[in-house]
Amino acid sequence: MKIILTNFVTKFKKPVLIEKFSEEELVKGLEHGDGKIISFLYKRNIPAIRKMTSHYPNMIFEAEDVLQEGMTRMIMNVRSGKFQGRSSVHSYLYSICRNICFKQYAAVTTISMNDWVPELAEVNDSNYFDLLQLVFETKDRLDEKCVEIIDLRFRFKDKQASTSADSKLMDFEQIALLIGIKGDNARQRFSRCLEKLISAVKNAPGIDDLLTSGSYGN
Amino acid sequence: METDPKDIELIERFLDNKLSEQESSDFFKRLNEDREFTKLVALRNALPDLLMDADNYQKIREEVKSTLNLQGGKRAFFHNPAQMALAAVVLLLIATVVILFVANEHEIFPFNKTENLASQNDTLMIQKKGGPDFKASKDIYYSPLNGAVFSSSDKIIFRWKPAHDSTFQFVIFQKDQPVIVYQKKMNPGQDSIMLPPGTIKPGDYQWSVGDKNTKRTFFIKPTVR
Repeated sequence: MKIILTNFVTKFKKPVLIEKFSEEELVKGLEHGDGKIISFLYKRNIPAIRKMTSHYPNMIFEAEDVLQEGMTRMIMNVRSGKFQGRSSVHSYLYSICRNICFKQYAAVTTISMNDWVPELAEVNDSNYFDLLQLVFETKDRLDEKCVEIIDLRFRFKDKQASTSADSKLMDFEQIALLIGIKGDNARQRFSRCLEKLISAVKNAPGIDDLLTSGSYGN
Repeated sequence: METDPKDIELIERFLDNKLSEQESSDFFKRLNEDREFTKLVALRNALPDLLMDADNYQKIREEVKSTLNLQGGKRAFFHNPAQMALAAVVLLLIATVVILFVANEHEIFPFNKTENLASQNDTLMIQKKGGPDFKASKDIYYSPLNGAVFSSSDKIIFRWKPAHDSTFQFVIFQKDQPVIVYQKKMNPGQDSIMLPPGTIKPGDYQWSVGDKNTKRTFFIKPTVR
């Protein structure tokens, strides 16, 4: 699917990857986690990301890590429908990577995040991904009983139920039966566990925007 | 401000439709008046999706990581074959130099054993001061020259026709006296030995290998500083 053309004049330079994947194929590949597409996108974009990361003064970025993270976010955005194809996959991926670097750079310099380059606005969702990371880490730190009761209440292990809109939450009486405690105790335990999660994320950057955007909890 | 687990319990009971009429009325009243409570309700509603997305985010991250690692796309220390080849050559050269240096230090190479063979400088010295002085037949000789003179700072290379049949002694003794000042057992086939500077004091000596009848004289004079 791809042809490697070697420029004979500069034949000792790196081969130039000429892509034969259409935008549609790339998007579908990302949506389905196609290894060939992921690998192709990585190889196609790593030179540009290396060049971009090298331009930040007094900062050393691992271009490989930046691109890996960028591709993770790109896949998330493709799957959630945030990527609407207004720019090419490569431009979008590049912008995500630039945002990742810019945010880290802004954190250690006097540059404000308000100095955001306008063209990056479409993918300026670093806070959202930081929030996801925070949520994941906080849940990861909870004890097993907390994780168990949260998963039961939100039916994370019950794929059939989690897809049906009318029974998204498991009743505490049912949870109580499953874990061998009383219904009221199950509710109290769940509330204490959820309080830890909420306390960790309620003041996180971007949480207010997220809650008012209407994209969650509807 | 701390979040009260009781408030979360209240929200859960509301979501399960377990509030009494009065509690329900109070709940909505508070929702309109208490901003913190409103935010808490919104956050509680967002949490299932946030948790799900956070989990997906980690899964996708792992997927991307393992795909790139499996396909060798990532973490290439060098980014093209030319760089890789150059690095291999440089590493090979460095390894060769280190091996040669270590081998030289430990006299692993036979040609580097100073005890047995002369270096280029020693050979020059022999040509100047020694050289074959006795030829019983066309390939039997000894050096240095009988009566050769050395300084005490010289390395002296003794050479002889090698004997292949058995071991024998290399002996230096004081001239006209049976006092041995240096002796060493030679291996079969050995045809030279180097005497480092300062091994024996300045004076008149004789040396021989195998047979004392073939002894030759030499003189070591003190070094003039």
